Amino acid sequence: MNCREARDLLVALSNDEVTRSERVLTQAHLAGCPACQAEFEALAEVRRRLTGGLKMRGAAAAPSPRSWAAIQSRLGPRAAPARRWLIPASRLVSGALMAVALFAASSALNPLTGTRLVSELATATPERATVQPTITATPIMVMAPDADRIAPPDGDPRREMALDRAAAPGRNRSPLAAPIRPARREADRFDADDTMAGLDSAPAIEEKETPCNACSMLN
Amino acid sequence: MQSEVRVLIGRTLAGDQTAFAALYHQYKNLVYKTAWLLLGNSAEADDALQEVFLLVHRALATYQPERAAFSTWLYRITTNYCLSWRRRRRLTLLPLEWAGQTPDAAQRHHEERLEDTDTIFRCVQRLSGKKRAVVVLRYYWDLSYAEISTILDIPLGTVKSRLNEALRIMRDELGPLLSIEGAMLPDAGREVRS
Repeated sequence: MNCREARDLLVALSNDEVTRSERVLTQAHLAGCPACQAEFEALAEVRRRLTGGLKMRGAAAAPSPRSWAAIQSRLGPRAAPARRWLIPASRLVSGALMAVALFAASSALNPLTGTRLVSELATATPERATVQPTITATPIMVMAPDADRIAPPDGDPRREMALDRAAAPGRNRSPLAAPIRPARREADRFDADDTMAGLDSAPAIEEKETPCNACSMLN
Repeated sequence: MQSEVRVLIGRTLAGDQTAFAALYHQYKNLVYKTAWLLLGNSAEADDALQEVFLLVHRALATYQPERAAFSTWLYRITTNYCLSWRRRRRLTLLPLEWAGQTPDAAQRHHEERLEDTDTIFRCVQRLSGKKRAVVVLRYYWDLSYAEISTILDIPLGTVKSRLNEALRIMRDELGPLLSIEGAMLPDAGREVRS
């Protein structure tokens, strides 16, 4: 073992983190090399002082007594995750029935296809089922976000509607639509992306839609 | 210990906040002291404590006890958080609590020890984040190379080389200050910090 090989192992030797063969070889080299022996002693002394200094500093460090209260306030009331799955079957069934009823009602009221399709379906035979229904082209007004800038010409009744919508944009928003989320703060992105990176035992955090204060801070 | 922790984790996942409070009080010192030694000041360590436990609360369902001890998982989240925080902070400023700090202990011996501790602590703070993490985990928490390798998700050889480099840097910086003999060997070679 030469000096370079020995010096690569000096810190591990002082930390008792070498294999038996490495220990024997390194100690044999140190016995015959005063320079490496001096370096080993210097590194051992640094290790001793470093350990003492860190222990002394760390012993005095204590978290603020207010930290837990701060964490609690940021956690807020949180529903137990397991309870999310305890939706009664009756509510699921009634929800499914309501969805079917809403679909049927909206189809029946659709002036373009609804009445025709319902009547066709009612009288459909296996042979007719292969016939593709034809839909006549009808002008459709698309309410783009900048609809007020492309409003129909004067005299057109759709112009009034467009201007009304432009004047009150929130009115067109369905109450069932997803709430607008605030943009993620830079610090929050850092939390999710950097801190949890590489956690074998903790895969990436799943994005959840449930209203939870702790999660919303990370979204 | 591990079975007790598993029970607390299970109760926390079931919505029991008192179980999470018990986890917090059991592990707050691990997180706080690690953060304090890595970040170098108490305000940021308190912030880290809060952020880490909020992350833990959120990701608790993903923790796999069969793969790592809960403390290993916490060390990893804490070191990742602190190293990322320091990378973002960029500037390494000495905390205010160090400025003009003069130990007022009665005994000279104690004063010398405090001065030594300050010098050592400043030197640790000047190490790169990666080297500082292995130094804190090894010399404060007395973790083995294998445990440090798992926590930081780096090969065992990298743990060895980082500790080797860190101690040589400290030997060069602390040697003249702490009168460590043999610290400035002509062929020792000054390490370049990364």
